[in-house]
Amino acid sequence: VKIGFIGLGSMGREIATRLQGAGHELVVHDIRPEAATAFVTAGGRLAADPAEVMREADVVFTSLPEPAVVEAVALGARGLIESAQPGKAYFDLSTNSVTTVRELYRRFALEGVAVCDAPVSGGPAGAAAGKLSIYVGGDEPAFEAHRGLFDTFGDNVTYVGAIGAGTIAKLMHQCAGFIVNAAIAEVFTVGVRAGVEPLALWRALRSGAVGRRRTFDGMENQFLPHDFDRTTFTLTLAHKDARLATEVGREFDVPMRLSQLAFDDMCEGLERGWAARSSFVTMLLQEERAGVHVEVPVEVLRKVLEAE
Amino acid sequence: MRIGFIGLGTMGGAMAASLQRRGHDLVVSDVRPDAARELLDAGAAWAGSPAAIADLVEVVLTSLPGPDEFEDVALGPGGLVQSVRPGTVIVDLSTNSPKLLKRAHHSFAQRGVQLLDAPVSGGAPRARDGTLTLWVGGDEHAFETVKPALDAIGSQVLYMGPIGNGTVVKLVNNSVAIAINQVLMEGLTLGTKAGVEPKRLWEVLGRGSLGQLRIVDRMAALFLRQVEPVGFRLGLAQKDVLLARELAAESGVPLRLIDAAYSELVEAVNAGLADQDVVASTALQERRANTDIVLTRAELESDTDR
Repeated sequence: VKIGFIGLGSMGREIATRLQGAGHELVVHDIRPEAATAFVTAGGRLAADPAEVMREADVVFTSLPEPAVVEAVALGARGLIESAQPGKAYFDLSTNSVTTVRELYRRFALEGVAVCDAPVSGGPAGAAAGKLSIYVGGDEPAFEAHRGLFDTFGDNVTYVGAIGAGTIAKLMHQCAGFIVNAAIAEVFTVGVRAGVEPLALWRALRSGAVGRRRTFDGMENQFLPHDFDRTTFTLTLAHKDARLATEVGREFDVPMRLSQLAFDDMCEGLERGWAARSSFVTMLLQEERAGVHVEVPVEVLRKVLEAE
Repeated sequence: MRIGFIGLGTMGGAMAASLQRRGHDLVVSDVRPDAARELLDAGAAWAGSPAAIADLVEVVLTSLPGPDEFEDVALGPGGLVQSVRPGTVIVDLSTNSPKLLKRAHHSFAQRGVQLLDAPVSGGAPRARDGTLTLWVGGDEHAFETVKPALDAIGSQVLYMGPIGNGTVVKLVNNSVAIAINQVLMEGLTLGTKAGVEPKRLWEVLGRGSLGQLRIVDRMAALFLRQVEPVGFRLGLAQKDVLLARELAAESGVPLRLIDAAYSELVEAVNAGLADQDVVASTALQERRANTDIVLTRAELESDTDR
């Protein structure tokens, strides 16, 4: 298959290099033509615009900075859509808006072109090493047909669901990371201001139960199966710890915004009569606020873990 | 009435002067003897310690920066508890901790002494005029005994029930007033950064529903939770806050408290309240706090203090 690649920035450049290095024929485009030089030298072709890329290629990737740029490249003047033909596939690797990728899916489907959103995680270094995580949503047969292409730059390629699912997974992953960063800043500033040496604090925090666990591990025990009643760490105990922790913040004049939010949820949980339930039980409050139920049966979880 | 007064800072000094102006005989004390000069010139007596004051009078008022100072003055070495006589009434005018007040109340009660909490509202100008509002908690008989003295300090001296209840009102008053300042700051920075001159913002907001809002009316609406007829539909309120949120994102203005309000409205919509009046979301906080604040109009309009 001939591959089109648009957007040769810090991520796109590395991914396109992996594809070319795996022996695929490349037609590339970037608003800065000089970004294409290395690819042309290695035997690729520089197209004048996205429409030309789509005309020549069987499969087109875009790796672009933001939704407005993806829209212009895909649907604008001399955009991909102008030369769309049935049987081609378009994979957007950008971190895009869910609405935009769903709109692309709809518009290209009318032309017979399969679309997947396939945002990546791992940064330029991960891309260069072929070790990106890729979250794919959209046309599953098209993804399966070209899975080998994704394997040249990703070592963790996951089909998440219908169009937009990859983007949602990526955005929620990012968001979890941002919250964790903010929380870490909060607890470190309190700890250091209250008198603990930063290095000692870092070493201590890493060695604890939370520190040893990968962020999304452990959810299979309580949150996902909704089993909040078998526990050794009750909401009462967690509430007590959170109260003591936020007292430290108050004593040393450090604002603890996120901690205070978590503590407020615990207070609310106690008022619901959940004192003896697991400390994770406050996750039910957010489900209620969101009007959604998040549950995976325990036997399904067990199968997934056994397969790993 | 001869009255002891401890703590002659900005508020305490002004309140002591009001008492003196209205003919009360004062014995005063402060960690900074300088602070007493004008009162002493006008005839007050000086006492070297709280214990020395307790020895001389049967009504003692304290106006101190906070719980730590109150604990020293009331219960510490050289404190009131050392020499206070049975029958004495101590009135703490500070903004204090309800927990500490209850503990001190218990210690004094064992000596036949009543402690009242009577935090004041109105700031220095009204302290000087003797027109503060006082919210008083503690023994009602003791309250009646000292009320003539408290009337010299405040034009509104309101009995609130058991010890600590005056402080509960004061803490609600101050924390909400401070949060309102902060949410106003969010709105004013948004308005300015999004392109409206601050001067113009000041002039025109005053003429809108926010500027015309009386907090006391808003509280009445919440207590009554009058959801019919629907005045401002909750779903529309959510849309308006969302638009402000988007404007703030474009303008580069963080809106921490307004974001919290937005989350509250989303939660209310998910709870099926979109078509009700915006005050219906009160139910969410009530459920969280596991308490009910709803009043009937008849209850709201009857006056406890009359």
